[in-house]
Amino acid sequence: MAPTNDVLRGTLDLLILRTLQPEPMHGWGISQRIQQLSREALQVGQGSLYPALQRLEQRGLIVSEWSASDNNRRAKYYRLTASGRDALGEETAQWRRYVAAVEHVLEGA
Amino acid sequence: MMRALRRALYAVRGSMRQVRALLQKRKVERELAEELAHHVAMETEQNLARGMAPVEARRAALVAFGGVERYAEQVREARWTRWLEDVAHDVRYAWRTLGRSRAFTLAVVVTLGLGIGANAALYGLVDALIFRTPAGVPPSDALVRLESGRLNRLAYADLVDVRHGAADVIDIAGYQGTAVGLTADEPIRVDAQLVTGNFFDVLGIAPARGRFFVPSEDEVRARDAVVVISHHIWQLQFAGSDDVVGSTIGVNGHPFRVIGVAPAGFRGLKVDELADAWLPFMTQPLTMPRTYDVLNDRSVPLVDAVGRLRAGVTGEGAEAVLQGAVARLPEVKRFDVPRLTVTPLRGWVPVSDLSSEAATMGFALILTVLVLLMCCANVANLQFARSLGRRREIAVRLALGAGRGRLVRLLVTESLLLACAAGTLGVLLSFWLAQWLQVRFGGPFAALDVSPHARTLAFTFVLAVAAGFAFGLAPALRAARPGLMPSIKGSDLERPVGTRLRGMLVGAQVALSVVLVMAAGLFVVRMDQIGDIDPGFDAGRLVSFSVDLHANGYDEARRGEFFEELRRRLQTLPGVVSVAAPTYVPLTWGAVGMSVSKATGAADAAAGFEFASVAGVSGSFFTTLGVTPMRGRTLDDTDMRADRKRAVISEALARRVWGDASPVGHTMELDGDVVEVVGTIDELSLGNLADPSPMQVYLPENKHVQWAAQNVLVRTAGPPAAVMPRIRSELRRMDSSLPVFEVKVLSEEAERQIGTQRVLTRLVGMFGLLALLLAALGLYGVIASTVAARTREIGVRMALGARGRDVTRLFVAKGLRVVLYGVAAGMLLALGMGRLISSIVWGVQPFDPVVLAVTALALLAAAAVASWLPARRAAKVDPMLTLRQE
Repeated sequence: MAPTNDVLRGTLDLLILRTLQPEPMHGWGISQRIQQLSREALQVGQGSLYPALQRLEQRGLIVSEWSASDNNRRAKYYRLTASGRDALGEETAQWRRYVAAVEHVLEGA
Repeated sequence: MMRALRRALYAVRGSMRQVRALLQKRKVERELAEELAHHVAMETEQNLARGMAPVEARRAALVAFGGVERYAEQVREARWTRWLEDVAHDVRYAWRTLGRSRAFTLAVVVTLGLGIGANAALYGLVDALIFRTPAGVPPSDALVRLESGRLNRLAYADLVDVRHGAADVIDIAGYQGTAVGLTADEPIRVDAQLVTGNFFDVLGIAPARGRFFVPSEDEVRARDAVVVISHHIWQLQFAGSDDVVGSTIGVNGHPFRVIGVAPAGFRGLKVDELADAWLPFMTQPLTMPRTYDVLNDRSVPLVDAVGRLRAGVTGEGAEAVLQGAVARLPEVKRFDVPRLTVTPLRGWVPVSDLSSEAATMGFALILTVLVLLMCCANVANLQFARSLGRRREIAVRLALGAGRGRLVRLLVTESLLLACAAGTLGVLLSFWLAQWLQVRFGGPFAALDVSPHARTLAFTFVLAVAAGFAFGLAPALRAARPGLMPSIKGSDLERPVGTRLRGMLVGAQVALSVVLVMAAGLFVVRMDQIGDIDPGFDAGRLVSFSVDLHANGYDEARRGEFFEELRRRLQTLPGVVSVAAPTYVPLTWGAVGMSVSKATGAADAAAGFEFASVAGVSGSFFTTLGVTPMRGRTLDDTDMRADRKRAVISEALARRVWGDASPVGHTMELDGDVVEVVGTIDELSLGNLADPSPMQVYLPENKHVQWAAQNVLVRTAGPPAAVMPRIRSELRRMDSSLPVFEVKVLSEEAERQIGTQRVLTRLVGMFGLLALLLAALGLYGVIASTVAARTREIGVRMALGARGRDVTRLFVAKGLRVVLYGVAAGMLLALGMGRLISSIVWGVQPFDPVVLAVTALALLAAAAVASWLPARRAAKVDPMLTLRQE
């Protein structure tokens, strides 16, 4: 993945929120899922993932709790809050608007 | 709306987590490690599933993850509590570093502590004078002062009317200062206050014993002879005994009943007259029968007023009602039309009355601030020098990625830590210093409450932090500058910018020391002058004391008889040589009868006029003092009763008006009166040793003295202390209720006046020396580090043929140049301050050329030594060694 900056940081947040929408997941699971869903195009740098999870938790969009994973290991699971769900909708809309705008500029000029 | 609320709630929860992270640091760190380890483990498993060997699998996982610690670090960075952790870390690091250089830390803390302490002490006194309610009075928002017109006072009758008119909104009390003689066993004279019946209620004070006045006791003229005494006098004169309440004591000879004792610490509301007794206004005809009628006369305002606002009333509201009451006052001729304003009762004096103290306080404040600035400049210099030594460490930090701001923060934390330590020391010092000042200088300071108060502590704290930034910021910014390569390699080329800043600092220090050293010099010169003054008489055999006959009800005729009798009796006592009863006694301020008037040679109107000090004396005055005339004769008893006024004048006045011709037998005009000169004497020291008033006229005792206490001057054969008890018992036999006060042996009085001057001189002298030392140290530091930094250059110079002497001269010249600028700036500053100085110390000429020259020389000499010592070391540099080092 390209070096982190604000736009990409925001994008990562969006991806994480989307990934968590169906079910709670732990960190590694999230990174795997993103990789999968993007058809191997996006590989979340672990250095970006955990700080991003931290940020989202700070903003109150996700919460975490320790529990046993599939192979009976202790893992930290994250899930969306109601607030997170709202944010997901907003951020998605914002992203789409952003993409459309960039497209217009690329076509128009 | 709901959405926002929810988000806020979750954000709070999120923040709570952060706080939890801070508090349970270890647990949270462990969890983070666990989470990351889990990630790596899962990745490893996946790799294994793909068919990698176990070791390979783990390694690949770790590589993919890319440095666990770095990511852990980034995660930690994301927390806002990181900032707090950083600060805590900085403080711990600063603590350790300072602990290692103990000498430096100690020197800085002590120097700064002294500077801060002095400032805090002075501020404490000023605060107590201006902002705190007077001692013993519980602070209250409802307590106000009524200020009126120019004198801030009202006439009593006006006060009573206004009080009735505004009774709905405010409870007004009045007080007036006076002095009375109290007689229990011994008659003593105390400062007292006439007060309205509600005085203590308005102030909200509770008695220590007995009770205070009830309103009925202040209603009828001269009916209720009751008095409240102070805690101080209760302990002193009545030994704190419980049966003082209800007992009868004499007040100006009249029997009064003591009804109560005021609480400890309360001495009334006048800072320069600490009261020991309070009497209702209505008793004034009893205690002061021959004085001016305070109760009825509306023409002169004499009464101060305070008040307590009723519940729910504001200051503005009260003012409006008061204006109405004032408008309804009867139309009579008044000195000043009352225009009442209401101000909160804070501090001892209305701020408008402070002007007389302001000059002295301002001077003292400037001195202490200057010293603090100098301390800061010195510490800044020390910090500079120290950071030069740490250059390598700082360069390495910068190379490892520390941000410049972070580094500056680290260094400033060190300075702040030092400043806080110094501040704590300063606080402790300031309490001790304030109390010492109170004891040493007494006067209005004695009444002030200098106990610890939030405001003074806050002031000290702010001062310490400001000082910390003042001396810490510049060196820190300098030190954290990038430009790493030279530092790491080890060849520290001193860049000119660094020395210039330090040089300016030293220059500033020198300028400040010039001011202080000059002030010290002026004081020393003054001391010298005072020491040389001859009072004009043998002060060791003269004692004076005062009695207030007027207060005890003696009229003019009785007074005359009293003194005749007294003189007769005292002269029969063994050890007494001569007795006089002048209205003025040399070296004391007891002279109320003195006035300044115009004297002119009546024969020649064009001779101009002079202002002279005039005193009324009795026939035996000159013999008692032991003064012989220089020309003509002194006054004797016949002159007392002569038709034409006769006078003795001082030589200085004679010379001014008549030149070398003898004035004896000539006449002069004194405020319209024609007076014949019978003789001249050498000037006497009037009032104060340091106060030159050489134009003096002595007339036969003038009769218009009404309120003044009467002075008695006694010349004794041996030490006066031996004779005083006999004099006292004689007086007691004549009138047992007459207090004898202000007993002074004139030589002790002279000593005391010189003594205060001496303490002041020593204090300023100490400041001056301290300043000089600090400046010299600063200069030494700068030159020394310059030499150390330019060792290579010196080596090159010497290899190219320069001798040791040349190198030394180079650096000494450098040092002197800095100092020269500083001295020039300092001189300008000092000349500007000259007027301030001469308003404090009378008779001092601020532009004394000798003092200026000596100051400049002293500083240049100090600078020469301070630069020569390190410069000498430069001369010893071995060019071979230094050149080979590179």
